[in-house]
Parts: sequence; structure tokens; C-alpha cells
Amino acid sequence: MSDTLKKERILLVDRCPRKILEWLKIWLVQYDISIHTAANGIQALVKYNKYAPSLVLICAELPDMSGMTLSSIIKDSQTGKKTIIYLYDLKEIMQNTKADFFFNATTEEKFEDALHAQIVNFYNVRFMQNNHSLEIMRAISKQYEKLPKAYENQYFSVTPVFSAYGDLSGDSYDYWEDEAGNLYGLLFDCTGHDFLSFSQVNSMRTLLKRDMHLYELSVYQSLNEVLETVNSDLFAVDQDPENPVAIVFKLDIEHGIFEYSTAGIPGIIVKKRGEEEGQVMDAASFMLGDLEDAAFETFRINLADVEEITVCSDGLYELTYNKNVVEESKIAKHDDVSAIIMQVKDELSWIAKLNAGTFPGKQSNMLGAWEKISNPQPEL
Amino acid sequence: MEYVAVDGNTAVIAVDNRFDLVKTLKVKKETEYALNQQGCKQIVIDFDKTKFIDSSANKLFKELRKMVGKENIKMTNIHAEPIIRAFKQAKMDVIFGLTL
Repeated sequence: MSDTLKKERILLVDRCPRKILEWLKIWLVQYDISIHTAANGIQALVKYNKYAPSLVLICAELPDMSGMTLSSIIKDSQTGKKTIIYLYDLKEIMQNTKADFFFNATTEEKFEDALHAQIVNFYNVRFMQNNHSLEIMRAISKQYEKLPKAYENQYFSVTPVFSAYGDLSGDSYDYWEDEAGNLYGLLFDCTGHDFLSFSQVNSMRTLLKRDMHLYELSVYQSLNEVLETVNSDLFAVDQDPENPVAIVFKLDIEHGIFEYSTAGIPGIIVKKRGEEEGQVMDAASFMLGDLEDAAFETFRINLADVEEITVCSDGLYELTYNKNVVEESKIAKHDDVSAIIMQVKDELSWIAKLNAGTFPGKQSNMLGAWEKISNPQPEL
Repeated sequence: MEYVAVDGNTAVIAVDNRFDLVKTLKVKKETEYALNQQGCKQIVIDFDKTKFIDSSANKLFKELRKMVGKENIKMTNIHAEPIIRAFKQAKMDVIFGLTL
């Protein structure tokens, strides 16, 4: 195969390609991609045959033929099925139009947003797969193998949610029961969602899980100590570490309480019985890797009257609690989404009620009982 | 570029209204372009016309800080209440040495 055919190429077909050409150059600067332009359909067919681009962007309004006609001609050619075609500036769809993505005529800003989301995702996935196809397939398989399944006991049920942005997720989670039936768990979000993130995810899981097991064995006295140890370990390995965010928690059956500590994750949503919507537990915290001696806090919730606790990464949190922003962005899902949904059964709720008299928490407007059980000041 | 202007060796980021997930992706690309292709060494993020930021923006600010070093990134005109709240929640005020 000649070098001409091996190189990754885009063909942009538009009578005025300047604006989109400028966008593509900025969006794809880190990739080795050649961008060719054609001002009309005939020129496009010549260049398509000459350069064999993997992606063709076609404006519906071309001077010599409809963009829909051009798109269908390419799609029905011998190599057409392997070519991805984006048709844009569509005012109506002609019968038998063939393309992979269709963009209606809209404002320049909205089109730029939609095209940007598609293009960036397309090349992130494509380059990742081209460069590491076997490794990627193994990594994808391994990432699912590590995740625990949904389960329930007489006190609660646990439902996990895991949806990677591409093939690999920067998020992950784990949870397990001890012999007494208490649930220990962790959820975290590393930067990005590619092969590099996969490696970070595995390191983070190891660190968090090790220290959570030490907490389970009472080597550490609090959940914030777990995060502080992990944070310190990140700086021991790298002076300028990445910024993963994480939450660690324990669902304590014996006492009917839920304890948690967060490092940068906003997503603790607590729903009380009889209420339609959950409330977000607001807490300021550093991300892991922000400061070497960062201090974290542990919070405790009495489970009396609590029906559901959702621990989630910002991917889910922002899709639900910033719904209007998401709708404006016109992108249905912008990040990895992961969550652990714990539904508390009446039996555990009763244990919590029985213990409420001895629960040392302060009364709060948000919940029946909520308490910060550690309040260290960060040392700078 | 839409959100990044080059002033000497400084990339000036200014996003109007919402600094959200979509704009974050674009700002990152444009800033990388300014740093790698246009010779910029410093970054100024001007929040004068910004009314809202989300967690993706906060993550971006930390990434940019790592790219140019903490001495070479500055934030200005932070006056919208939702931004101050988001900064405090992620302790960005501590990390960036801001008085909010």
C-alpha cells in the first residue's frame, strides 16, 4: 500500500471551507491528519479517489450537485462503506440519501458544538484502536472483569452503573461485604478515558482498595485517613501527580449509618423516603494530587428515613443536576458515567431509628441526621 | 480562535456566559494550540464575562496550571457568585492562591 493511502485523511467538501477547516486544524492538532478540501462535487470525487480519506465532511449545498447526491455516490462506491460521511447544513432529506451522520442546518455555534463532539470522539477512538488494537481489546475486557455485580441482602440492594465515554473509562468502582454484612466501597475518576487512563485506573484501584482493607482491619481509624494515605502515596510516586477524584464509604449495618469521605467528587445524592428527588450532599474538598499534605473529612449519615444513596462520578452528577446545561450543550453524554446506587430496605432503616437516640450527629436541614465527624484544616 | 486570544507570549482565555463541558474541550484545544504552535508561555483566564463553570472547567484549570507551571497562570475578574461557589467547593481558591 502506498504512503498516500496509509495516511489518515479528511476530505472537506464545501464551497466556503475556511471556517470548518480552521476548526479542524485546532481540534485535531495532536493527530497526524491531512485535510483536503473540494469546492464542488466533481472535485470531491476526484480527490476522494486520489486520497481515500477515512472521513468526508459534505455540505448539503454544493454548486454543481446536492451534497446528498455526492454522499450517496461515495457510499455506494467500492470503498464507500469504509468511509465515514458527515452531511451537514441539511434543510431536508432527499430519498435514498446515504451518510453516517446528519446535521441539520442550524446556527454556526450549535453546528460547531455538535461537529466538535463527533469529530473529537471519532479520532480519539480511531487512533486508539489503530495504534493499540490488541492491547485495547484486552484492556476493555479487563476493565469489565474488575467490576463487581449488582446484589442485595436483607438490609440493602446495590446497583452499579458503568458507562464508558469511549471504549475505556477513566472511572471505576469496587465494593464488598465483610463478614458482618457491612458494605465497604470506593469510586473514583481519573483524568481522560483512554489507554493511559486505564493504567491510572488500575493503580488507583490498587491504592484505594489496599487502604480500604486496612481501614476494614482498623489499621486506619477513619475514612479520611484512607484518602490522606492514598494522596500521600501519589506524591511519593510522582511529585506532580494527576488529579483523580475519589470517594470511599462504609454502609454500617450494625449501627444503621453511612460514612463517607470525598476527594473532589461532588456526587453523593441522598433520597429520603417519600420524597421524589434526592439531595446532593455539599462538601468542599481537594482532589487527590492537589496538595501533598491535604486533609480530607469524613461525614456520617443516619439511615433512618433514608431510602437511597447514590455515589457517582461527576459524569452522572452533572447530567442530572445540571440538566439545563447539558440540554444547551446538545451533547447527550460528555464523560464517563459511573455510580453505585444503594437502596436501603426497611429493616436497616429500623436499625437506624433504634440507634437514632444514641446517634451523635447534628440535626441538619438536609437530612434527619448528618454529621461531619472530622474537621481538619488543610495545611498549606 | 474563539475563546483564546494571543497577546505577546500570553494566551488569554475568555469565555462568555457558561464555561461548560463543550467549551472546556474547545478551550483546551485552542490553548494547546497557542502554547505549542504560537509560542505562548503564560496563561491568563479572564472571568469577566463568565457566569457559570462546571467541574470539567475546574479540571481544565488544573491541567493548564501543570502545562505552564503555577507561576505562569493567572485568573482575573472572578465576581460571579456561581464561580466563587464552584471554586470554593473544589478548593481552587487555595490551590490558585485566590482571595474570594
